Amino acid sequence: MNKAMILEIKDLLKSFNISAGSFTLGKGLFQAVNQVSLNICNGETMGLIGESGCGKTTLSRLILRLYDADAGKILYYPPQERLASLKRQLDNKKLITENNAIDISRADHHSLKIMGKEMQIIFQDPWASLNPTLRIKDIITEGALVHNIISKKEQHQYARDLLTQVGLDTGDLDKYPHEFSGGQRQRIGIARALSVNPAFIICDEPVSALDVSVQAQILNLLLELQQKRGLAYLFISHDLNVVQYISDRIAVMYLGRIVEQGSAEEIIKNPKHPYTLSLLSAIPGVDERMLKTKLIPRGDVPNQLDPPEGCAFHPRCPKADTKCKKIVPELVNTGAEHLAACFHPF
Amino acid sequence: MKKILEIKNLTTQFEMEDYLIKAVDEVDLTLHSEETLGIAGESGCGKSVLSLSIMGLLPMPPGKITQGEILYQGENLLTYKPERMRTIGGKEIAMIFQEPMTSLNPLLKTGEQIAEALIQHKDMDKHQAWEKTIELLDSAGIPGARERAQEYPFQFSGGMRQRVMIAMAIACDPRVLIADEPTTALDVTIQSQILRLLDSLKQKINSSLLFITHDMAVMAGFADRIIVLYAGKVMENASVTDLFKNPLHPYTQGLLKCIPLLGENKYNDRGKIRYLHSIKGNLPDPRHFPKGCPFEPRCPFAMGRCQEAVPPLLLVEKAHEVRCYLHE
Repeated sequence: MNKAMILEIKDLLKSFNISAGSFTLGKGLFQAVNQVSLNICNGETMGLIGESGCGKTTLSRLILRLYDADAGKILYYPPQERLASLKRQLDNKKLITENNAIDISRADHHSLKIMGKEMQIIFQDPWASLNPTLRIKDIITEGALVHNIISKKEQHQYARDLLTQVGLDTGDLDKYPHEFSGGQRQRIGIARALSVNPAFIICDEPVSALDVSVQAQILNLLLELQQKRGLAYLFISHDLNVVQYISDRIAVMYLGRIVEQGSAEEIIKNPKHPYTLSLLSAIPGVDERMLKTKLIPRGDVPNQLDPPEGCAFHPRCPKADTKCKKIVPELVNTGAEHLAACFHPF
Repeated sequence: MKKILEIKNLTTQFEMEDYLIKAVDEVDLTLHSEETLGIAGESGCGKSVLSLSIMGLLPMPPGKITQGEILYQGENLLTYKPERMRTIGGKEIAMIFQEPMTSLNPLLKTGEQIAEALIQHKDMDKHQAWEKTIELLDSAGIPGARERAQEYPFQFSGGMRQRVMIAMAIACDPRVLIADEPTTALDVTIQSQILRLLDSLKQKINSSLLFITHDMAVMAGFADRIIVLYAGKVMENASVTDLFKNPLHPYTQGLLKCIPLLGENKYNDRGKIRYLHSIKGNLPDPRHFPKGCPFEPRCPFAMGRCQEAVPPLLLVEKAHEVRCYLHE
C-alpha cells in the first residue's frame, strides 16, 4: 500500500446487553462488533459489505464515537496538510501518538468536537436524517457555523456554493426538507457532510433507500466529490454490485467479524471465504461465468445472542468440518494483501 | 396459451381534497396460464395500486376505479359484490406482500393463520386443515413444521416469515399468485432462496404469477414477460429476452444501464474514472404528472410533441409494445 493511511481500527469490540429481552432475540449479550481491525487510506474508498445485523452500522457509529467501544483502538492519521492545525486545536496533547495519529478511542468530548471537522457521515434514510423544521440553508451550514469556518455574514454565499457542488438549485436555499424528493434529500445530506470540509466520510447505505434511476446520480456525485477533494470513504452497503463498483478495497462482515478483505478486484474475481462466494452467487441474474463456483448457503443467519461456536458461518457452509465447529478461524493473509478467515478457503 | 387474467383499460385514482392522483392510468395487461408476468417500476409508478385493485383491497375512498375491467377467467371482478369477491381472494387469486412482519397477525399462531384459509375456502375441518397446514409449511421449506406451526410470527426470522406467507398464499392452490416485492425486505442470501422456492411452488401448483418488483436484475431471471410502468402508465411490454436485449423505451434503456455490473469497477482500462450512466432529474410528483409523456422531462430524446400529448402504446415488433414517438 503506497498511500498514506487515514484511519486505523485495531481489535474493536462492542457488545450490547439485551437485558430487557427482545421478542425476536431473547435475552443476553449481543456481540455486535467482534475483534474488528481495518485500515483506510487517504483518498480511497473502503467498501464494507454484509447483511442486516452483521455489525456494519455499529462499526460506523463506533468510529464516530456515537457509541463507545468495549475495547480496541481507533486511530486517525490526519493528512499532512491538516496535521499542524489539528495539533494546534487539540488541547489534550496526550491523544496524539508518536507517529502523529490521533487516538479517537480515548478522545474526550471537546476533542471529539474538533474531530467532527475531520470525519462526517451520510445516513441511509434521507427522510429521517434531516431536521424537518429547518431550512436547507441552515441544515447545511450549521456545522460550518459551529466550527467557526464561516461567519454568519458568509452563511448565504457558503450555502449557495455547497448546493451548487451537490447539483441542487441555489433557489432551494429557503425551502424545507419536505419539499424535496429522496434523491435531492440525499444531496442535501451530502452537502451537510461537506460543509465542514472533512477528509473522511462514512457513507452508511447512502443509496439503499433511493429508486434505481436516482441511485446512479448519487453514486456519480460521490465519485466526483472524491476526485475533486481527495476524500476517503467508508462505503457501507448490502448491495455487492454497488460496493464492487465504487470501492478500491472491500471488507466483508458476517456476525460482527470481518471474514474477508482485499482489493475490490480480488474479492470479486477470487473470493476465498465461502460467505463472500455466497453473497456473489446471490446477486440476482449474476453471470455465472463470473463466479468460481455457485454457492447458495443453507438456512438463515443465526441468532446473534446465541452465535454458533467456532466459525460463525459453519452451520451454513458446505465445507464445514469438525475444526470449523470448534475454532474461530483468524483473518490471515492469503497473498496479494487478500485476507480471509477460513480454514478451507476457495 | 390460455388467458387467465386480463386487465383492460384500468384506471385507478385517488381523489384527495385538493388534488387527484391517477395511480394507474389506462393499463392493459394479460396474464396467461402458468406464465410469470413481471411488473417493473420505481416508487409511485402504480405497481402496488394495480395489485390491490385486482385483489379488491383498495381503500375506497379515497381510492376509486374509474374505468376498465379486470377479467378473471372471462368474468369481470369489478362487478362482483364483496361477498362474492371473498370467494376469489385467497382462493383463486392469492397475494404475497412485501413486508412479512406487517402482513401476518402477530397475535395468532402462524399455523392458525394458514388453517383459517383452508377452513374458509376448502371446507376442511380443523384437524384436516391443521395437517394440511403442516404439509404446506414443510413444502415451503420450514424445518420442523409441526412445531413451528405452533409458534407466533415474532419467533420467525424475516426469511422464514416470508416462507409462511408463501405457504399461506399457495394453501388453496390459487390459479393466480400476485407477489408484490416479495424479497425487497430480505437479505441477499435469503432473497435467492425465496425466489427459488416461489418459482418451484408456482410450477408445482401450475399457477400463474404476477411478479412485481423494482429490481430489474431479479426480473431478468424470473419473468417470462415484463411490463414497465412509469407514472401509472405502461411504457413498454415485451418478452424478457426482447426487453433486455432490445429495450425500446428511453426509460427502460436508462433503467437497465444505470445499474453497475459485477466486474465493472469505477475505473476504466486507462485507470480513469468511469461514471455510471444515470437518468437525469427525479420521479414526477404524482399530484402533477406532466400533460404529455410522463418521462419527457427526464428523457434525453425528448421532442416538442412529447410535451403536448401522451404517445400511444405502439406495437412495434411481434408482441413488443412501447409508448414512445421515437418508434412511430
